[in-house]
Amino acid sequence: MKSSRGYFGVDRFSHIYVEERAFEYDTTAIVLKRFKDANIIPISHYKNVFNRPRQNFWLQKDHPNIILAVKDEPFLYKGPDICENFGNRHFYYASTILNCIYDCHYCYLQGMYQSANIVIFVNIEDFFEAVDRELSFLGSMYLCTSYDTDLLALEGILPYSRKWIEFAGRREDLLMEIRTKSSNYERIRDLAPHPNVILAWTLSPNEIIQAYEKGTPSLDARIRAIHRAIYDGWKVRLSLEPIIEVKDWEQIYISFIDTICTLLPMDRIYDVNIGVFRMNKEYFKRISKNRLDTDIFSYPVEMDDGVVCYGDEGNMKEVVARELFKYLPGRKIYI
Amino acid sequence: MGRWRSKICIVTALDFEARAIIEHYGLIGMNNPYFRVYVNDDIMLIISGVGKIRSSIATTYILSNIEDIEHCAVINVGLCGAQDTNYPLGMPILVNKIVDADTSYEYFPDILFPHDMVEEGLETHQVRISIDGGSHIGEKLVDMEASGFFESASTFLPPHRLSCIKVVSDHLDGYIPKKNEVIGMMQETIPYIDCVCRAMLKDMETSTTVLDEDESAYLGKLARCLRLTVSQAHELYDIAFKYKLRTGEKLPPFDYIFDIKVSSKEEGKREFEKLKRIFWSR
Repeated sequence: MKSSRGYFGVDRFSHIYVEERAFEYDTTAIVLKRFKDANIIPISHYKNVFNRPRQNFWLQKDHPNIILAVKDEPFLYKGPDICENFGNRHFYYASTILNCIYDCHYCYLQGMYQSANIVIFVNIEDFFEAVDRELSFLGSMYLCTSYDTDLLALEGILPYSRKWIEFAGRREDLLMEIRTKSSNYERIRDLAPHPNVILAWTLSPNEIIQAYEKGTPSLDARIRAIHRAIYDGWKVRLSLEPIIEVKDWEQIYISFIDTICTLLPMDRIYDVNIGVFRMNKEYFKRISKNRLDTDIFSYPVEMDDGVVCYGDEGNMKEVVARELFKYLPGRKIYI
Repeated sequence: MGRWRSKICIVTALDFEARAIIEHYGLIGMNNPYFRVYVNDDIMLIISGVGKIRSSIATTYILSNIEDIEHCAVINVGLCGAQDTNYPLGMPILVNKIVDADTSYEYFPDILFPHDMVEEGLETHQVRISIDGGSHIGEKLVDMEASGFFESASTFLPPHRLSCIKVVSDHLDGYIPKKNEVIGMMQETIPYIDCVCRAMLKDMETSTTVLDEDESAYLGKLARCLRLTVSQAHELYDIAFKYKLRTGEKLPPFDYIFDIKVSSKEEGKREFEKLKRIFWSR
């Protein structure tokens, strides 16, 4: 029996929905212990809450709740064509968490999901077993574990980055990427760096962060985290995406590249990828119709095989790449 | 389009569950051939009768007659039984989960506002049940309407505009409170109902629109003048919507179009292309 008494507004995670079969998992106990004041609501299946029709994603985003669930197969998905595979064969991704605590205006998740509530799949060990099965079949694998969420940003709630890193560290044939915008590196700093784990930071100019990446750490905070990770011996990837078309974008991005390349030891950066804003047509349509607090979807765009992109995409990539080539060899830059 | 302008709809099963609400909000009875309906400027109350089917019918009826469903919320208020005797008689509870005992379907309102009520799950049964009747009861609360109410209401409204407040009237021990007792319990619950009504109204008032009513009407007039097809009219609206988001300014004046006599769709299309260029030029 819990009430919301005492809340000034409605706190994040005031309600935690728990699949009945999830109660027996350690992860569930960790999350419930972390949010002792939350209303705990048993549910029979996470989709009964997550996939309800007519939910207001953006209202929920301000007051997200947690859904603890047990994932059934499949645990691994083939990497989509729209994502960079960095020259790796057997490109897969795994989503142990759906949705993110940040509120980036351009995020595709708001077009993909009905709900902004955060789904945590508590049976991470089943994901590990699935990776082992595929590894024994394929021989090697490139796995991204932080696509439909920001795993490191949620590390304070649940140490899933740590678990994935510890798992990957014991498997030489697995190359794993954890992508983040967070400055939460301290949460995993005690771990020994593993050569088959890449910590990838998504970076944007401060102008873009302030305007469109609500709730995310500043560029400075991310750079400080990257510094520590590099000097601790981790492989660090910089992900410069999505490049957004705003007024004076060329000047903004050139200055941004110069800043990060001056502040970071670029010779110790593992690699960099560049991506211009692109989105599935249906997601774009849904977000642009409903998201009224941003101008990001109101600029002219073109359609390319079901994907919405800027007409100027090629030039935008070229401008950013040209600047980057001043600091990094071409073999380290993925366009 | 419906004919009633209320923003908050309240559905109760019985007259004596509704009486305190009617008095508190000064609702006035209106002539209706099917249900007992009471209204004021913002609130409308309908008495459905007992049972989930009746609740479903009444909810559908009232919501399908609301003029502006985009700015409307609905609340089910009524009595429930509680398995747990720690919940005293008269205690108001905000329901955060509803299970239909016959189908096992689950329903979840989105509770995105602060409140002072205890939250709990509720199970809806077709008939009145008691603990010693041997029925399996999965949730702590039991009623006879909520699942029917929710099934219908969620056809019309998003889950954050649906709410269910139940007042404990018995502990599933066969006790049936007298009418006066129920009226007293409901009077005590009014501040909680009012809190939910205010939260719902606030949400509706703060919901933003990009194009206001006048601008939408203006665009409609432009579309008629240019003899645009339905899909072109949608495109015009979309371009104007994005123009306002992008520039934060009022729509450019296109009054000259009203002086043009568009005699064919081709001519309209040509003018429409010019208009699009003006919108996208900024």
